Amino acid sequence: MKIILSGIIFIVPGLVLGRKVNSYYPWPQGLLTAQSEFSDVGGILLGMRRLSADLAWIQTLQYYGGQESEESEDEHQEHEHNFGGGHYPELLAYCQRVVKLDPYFHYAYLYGAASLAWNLHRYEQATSLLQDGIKYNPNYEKFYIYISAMEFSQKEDYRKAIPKLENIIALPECPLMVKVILAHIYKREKDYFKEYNLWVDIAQEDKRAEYLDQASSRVAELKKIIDIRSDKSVK
Amino acid sequence: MNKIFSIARYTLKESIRNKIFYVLILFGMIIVGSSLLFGALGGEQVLRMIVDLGLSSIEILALLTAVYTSVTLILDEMETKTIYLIISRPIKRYQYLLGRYLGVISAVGISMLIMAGGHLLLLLLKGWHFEIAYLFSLILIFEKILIVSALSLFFSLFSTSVVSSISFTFFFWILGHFLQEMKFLFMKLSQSLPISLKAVYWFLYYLIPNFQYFNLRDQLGGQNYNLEVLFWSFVYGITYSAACLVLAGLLFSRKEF
Repeated sequence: MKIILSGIIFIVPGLVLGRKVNSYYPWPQGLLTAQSEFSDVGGILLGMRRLSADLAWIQTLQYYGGQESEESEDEHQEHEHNFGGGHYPELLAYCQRVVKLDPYFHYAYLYGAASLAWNLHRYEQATSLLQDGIKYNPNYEKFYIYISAMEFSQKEDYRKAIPKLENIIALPECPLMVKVILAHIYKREKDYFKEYNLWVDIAQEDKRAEYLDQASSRVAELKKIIDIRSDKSVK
Repeated sequence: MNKIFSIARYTLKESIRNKIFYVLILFGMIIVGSSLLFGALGGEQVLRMIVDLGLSSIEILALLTAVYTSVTLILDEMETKTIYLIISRPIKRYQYLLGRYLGVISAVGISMLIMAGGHLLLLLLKGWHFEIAYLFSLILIFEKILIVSALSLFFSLFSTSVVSSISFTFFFWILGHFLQEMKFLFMKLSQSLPISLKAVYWFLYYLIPNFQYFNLRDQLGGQNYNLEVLFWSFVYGITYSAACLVLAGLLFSRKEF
């Protein structure tokens, strides 16, 4: 009798309180897919989904920052110079793996979608990644702004895309890469004042070589073009 | 009550004198420190990486300390026969068990506080702005430790072998985290399954502690937490731990020395 009672004691908290808690947590489910790697499975089994997503994100950055198998060293250098160019056919799959593990990893959606749309010109893939994000984060307004900015960019209607992107870069948690993309759009539109200011901001915000070198050289070029006598300088 | 606290105090001192306790804290601090390197690989997501690796390390090291200490606590005393000295005194067995349990979780709680202090310092030095969710995550990690300590105490009395008790506890730890995923798979298959299998599934689903309820650490970006959720998670953890302790008490009271 005591054993049966003890069994009931075990079940009761799980049954009553567990149900109560369950109703509040919209847990992302169906995390394990055919594409899942061993580290993903390990992370899920140990309750470390976010840490697994971090590892997957580092792998994504290594893939997107690395040299592609079919490109030569010169082509890679050129893509590096144009920032983020190339093919990277598996970038969407990499990003999807990350957000499958952590559907609340906003930055991964934003960075992945921006790279796919503006660097690799695969707008459909970028939109589908953001749609996945909206499914889990319906109140995260940046996803909607990105989608509309992408729609205008796809139609090459940069006049309408620029204000959207300006909205995006004013918001927190914006990948620095989006600022670099906007600077390139300003360059395309020959809006050199705005481009100059943005490069100065980029250089001040991030001191990593990949952005700093690009920002320094472009600021020097722009100074010559628009003959700016400004106190702002790249440190 | 005084007897329980005396045993808890004695257990805490015993745990703190144990070298393994210091080794695990030191190891934890090294991992927390190495999260700087990990963060550097994450591009602009440095702080996220440091938060995640730090909290995960704190949890794993607290888990290892809790499981090892809880399992060996009574088994060692039974083996060395020192337990006779205690139970021959005017003290009830459940008081001894509860005192031991409270001592273990206090020791693990202290080790978690030390590691979290180091982690927080590192984060603040890197320019992180304190979030209350961090504190809630730590509290819920401690809730997991409460459950796991009670479970391992129960298993140690049930199986009387260190290896099998540790294995059972880790098995429950993994299952407890995998329950949500199992539920998802079960829902997909449920229409084709016989009722008996469904009944077994639901029995196990509610029997095994669902550690995902305490995994706020994995939900930080989602911001799906509120005080009500925390309250119910807290109640769930306390009730489940109490149920494990009641069962452990029953087993311990029937044990013949």
